[in-house]
Amino acid sequence: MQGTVRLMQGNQACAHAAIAAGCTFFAGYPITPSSEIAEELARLLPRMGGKFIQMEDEIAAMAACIGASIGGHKVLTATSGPGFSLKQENLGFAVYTEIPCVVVNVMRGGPSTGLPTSPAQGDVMQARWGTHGDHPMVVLAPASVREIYDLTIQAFNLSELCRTPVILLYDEVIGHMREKTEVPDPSQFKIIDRKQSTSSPDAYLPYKSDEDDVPAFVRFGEGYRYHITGLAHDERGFPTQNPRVVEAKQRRLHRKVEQRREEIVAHEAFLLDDAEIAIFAYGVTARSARAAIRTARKEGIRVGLFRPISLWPFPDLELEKLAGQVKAIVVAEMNLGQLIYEVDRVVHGQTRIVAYQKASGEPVHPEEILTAVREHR
Amino acid sequence: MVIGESHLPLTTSHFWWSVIGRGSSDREVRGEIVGRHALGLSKVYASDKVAITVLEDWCKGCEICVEVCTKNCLAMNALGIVEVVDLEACNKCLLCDLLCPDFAICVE
Amino acid sequence: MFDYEQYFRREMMPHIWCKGCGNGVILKALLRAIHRLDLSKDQIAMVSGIGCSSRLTGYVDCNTLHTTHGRALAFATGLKLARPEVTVIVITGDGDGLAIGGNHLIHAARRNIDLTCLLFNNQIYGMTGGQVSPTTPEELFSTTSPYGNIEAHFDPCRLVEGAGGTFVARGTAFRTIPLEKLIAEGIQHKGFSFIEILSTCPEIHGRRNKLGTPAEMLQALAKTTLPTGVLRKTSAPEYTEVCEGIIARAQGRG
Repeated sequence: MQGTVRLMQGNQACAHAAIAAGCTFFAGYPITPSSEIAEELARLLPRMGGKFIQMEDEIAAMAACIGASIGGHKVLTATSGPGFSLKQENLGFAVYTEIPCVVVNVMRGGPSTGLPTSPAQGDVMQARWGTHGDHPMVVLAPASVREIYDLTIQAFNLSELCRTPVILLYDEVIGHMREKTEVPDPSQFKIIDRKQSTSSPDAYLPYKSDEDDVPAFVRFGEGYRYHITGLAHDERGFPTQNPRVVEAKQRRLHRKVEQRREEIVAHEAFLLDDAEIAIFAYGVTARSARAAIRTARKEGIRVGLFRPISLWPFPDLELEKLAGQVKAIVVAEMNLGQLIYEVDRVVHGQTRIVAYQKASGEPVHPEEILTAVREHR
Repeated sequence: MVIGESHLPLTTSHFWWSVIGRGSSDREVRGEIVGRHALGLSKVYASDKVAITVLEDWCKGCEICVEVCTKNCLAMNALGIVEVVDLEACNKCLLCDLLCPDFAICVE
Repeated sequence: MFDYEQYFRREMMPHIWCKGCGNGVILKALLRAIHRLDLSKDQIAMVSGIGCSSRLTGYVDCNTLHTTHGRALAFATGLKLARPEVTVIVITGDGDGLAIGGNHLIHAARRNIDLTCLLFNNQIYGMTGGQVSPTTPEELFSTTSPYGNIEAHFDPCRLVEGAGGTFVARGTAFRTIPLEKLIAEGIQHKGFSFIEILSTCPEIHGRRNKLGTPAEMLQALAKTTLPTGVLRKTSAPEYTEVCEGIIARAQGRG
C-alpha cells in the first residue's frame, strides 16, 4: 500500500511518526523550537489511549519518560539546547540502566539561551558526550521532513533493539519547515519491540544478556521483583564495586551498540561515484550542499555529498573509503568545528580537509559551499 | 547451662529454634542456645514466658535496645553485641524489637 | 512476632546504615504497614533518589527503582502513569527531597498523583559525610557549616500543604507504632500522600553536634514541638484518573 501525501511540518512529522512507531507516552517541557512536538502529541496521544504530561522541568520530563518505559511504554521526549543540557544526567541513567527511550533535540543557536528561533548544529558533540561517564550513544540526524518521519521510527526501533536511548538530532530549520511529505503506510515499515524475558521470576536476572549483549526486559508489576539502580550494578541489578563486574558491564554496553553497526550506521552518498571533491554535511547544511553540487556540476566540477545519517556511531568505514577517492573533503557545519574532528580522525591525512564553519544563526547558503568547492577544485 | 549448636532450617517464616538443653543459674531457669539461623549466628534466650532472639551477626552494637529497655534486661557483652542478662524481668514491651534498626533482636 | 524476612532481599542484608541509624527503624514500620494492608509484593513499587534513606529500595523485595538525586518523584510519576494499578511508594530524604528535589515535591503534590512519599528527615546529608541540609537547625555544625549553620530550616509539611497535597502527615522513628499506622493510612489514601518522618543520624550528625547516643537521639524525636499525626486529609481528583478522563474525552467517550 502506498503512503499518503501531506504538507507536514518537521516537528509534526516527528510526533506522527512516534505514534506510528508505537509510542504511548510523552513527557516534555515547552522549549522553542521543539514545542510543536509536545503540542501535537498532547492532541494525538490521548486519542490513541496514550499518556501525555507536561512536567515541571526538563529533568523531570526525562525522569518521567524513563519511569514510564520501565512501566512498559515506548516513550518520547523533545527539547532543545538548554533543555538537552538539563536532561543529561537522567539520559546517562537510562544508558546505564538500559531503558529504551527516544530523545529529540531540535538544535538552536547556543550556547546558553542563544538564539531560540534560529538553527545551529552546535550540539553534536554534546549529543555524544553530554552525559558524564564512559558510555555509548546512538544519534540520528534527519535532513528532511520525510526523513524525520523515517528516522523517528528508526530511533524507536533501535532503542528497543539495543535497550539504549536514541537521540534524534535536527536543527530548527528542519523542525519548522513544511514540506510535501509522503507519509509511509504502516505496511512500509517494521516495528521492533524490546526483548521480553522468558525466564521464571525466580530465575530472572535483569542485567544478564544472551550472546546478543542485550538483557531481556520485564516491566514493573508483572511478578518479577527486581532492582534498577544507577549505581554500578551486577547481573542481579544490585550495586557492586567488583572491578571485574563493573568492567564487564561497561564493555557489554559499548559492544551492544558497536556490534550493531549494520543496523545503526547510515549515510547518504549523493553523486559521489565520480567525485573529485566531496562535501561532508548533515541536516539543513546538507540541503544547501545539494544545491551547491547541482550548480558546481554545471560548471564541470565533479563534486558529491557524503551525508552522515547516524552521527554516532560515526560512519567511519564508509568515509574512509571515500577519503582515498577524492582530493578534498569540504566539511560544512553550522558550528565552529565538531564533527570535523571525526572526519579528520577517519581520513587520517589521506586527503585534504577543508572546513567551512558558520555560527551566525543563519543556515549555510549554497553559494558559501560553492565558493569553498571552487577554491579547492 | 547447656550451649549447643543447632542448624536452623532455612525458612521465610519465624526464627525457628530447637532447645537442646536447659540450664540453671542461682537466679532463675533460663535456656540459652547458640544456633546458626539462616541469616546469621543467633542466640536465643528462652523461658516459658518469653523468647528473645539476638541475631548476633547483624547486631551493630548501637545500644538502642539496652537503653530503651524498661526493665534492664539487656546489656552489651565484651564483643559489643547485646545479650540478655535478665530474661525473667522481661515484660514483653517490645521496645527493643521495635526500635532495633538492624532486625537484630526480636521478642516473642 | 513480626516476620520481616518475608519482605527483605536476603542477599542484600544486613543493610549498610550506620549503627543506631533511625532509618532501619522506619524501614521496619514501613514493612509492617505494607503487611497491615495485605498488599502483594508484586504490586508494590518503591522509587528512591540518592542518600542514606534512598538505599532502602535495595533491601525490599518488590519492584524497586533507585534513581538520580532528587528526582524520585518524577520517575515515580512516569511509572505510576504507566502502571496505575501498582502501589508506588517514594522514599526520599531531607536533602534529596527538599533541596534538589523540592520542585518535584511541589508538583507531585499539586497534581495529586497517587503516590506515597516518605521523607526521612535526619536533618543532614549523611551519605556524603554530613553536610548541611535545608532542615538542619540553625547554629548546628556540619562539614559545610563549620562555624555553625546560618540558614533557616523549613517545614516540608507546610510546603506540601501549600502545593495542594491531600494527605500530609508527620511521624517519628521513635513512635514507631503510630508511624506504621500513618504509613498505612498514607498508602491507602487515594491521591498524593506525604509523610515527613523525623529520623536520626547519630554517627555523623549526632557525633559532630554532641546530640547523644542513638537511643537518646531517638527518644528526643518524641519531644518535637512540630505537630505529628495526620495534619491534613482531604480529597481531590487523583491525577491518573483524571488522565483516563482526558483519554475518554479525546476518544469521544467522555
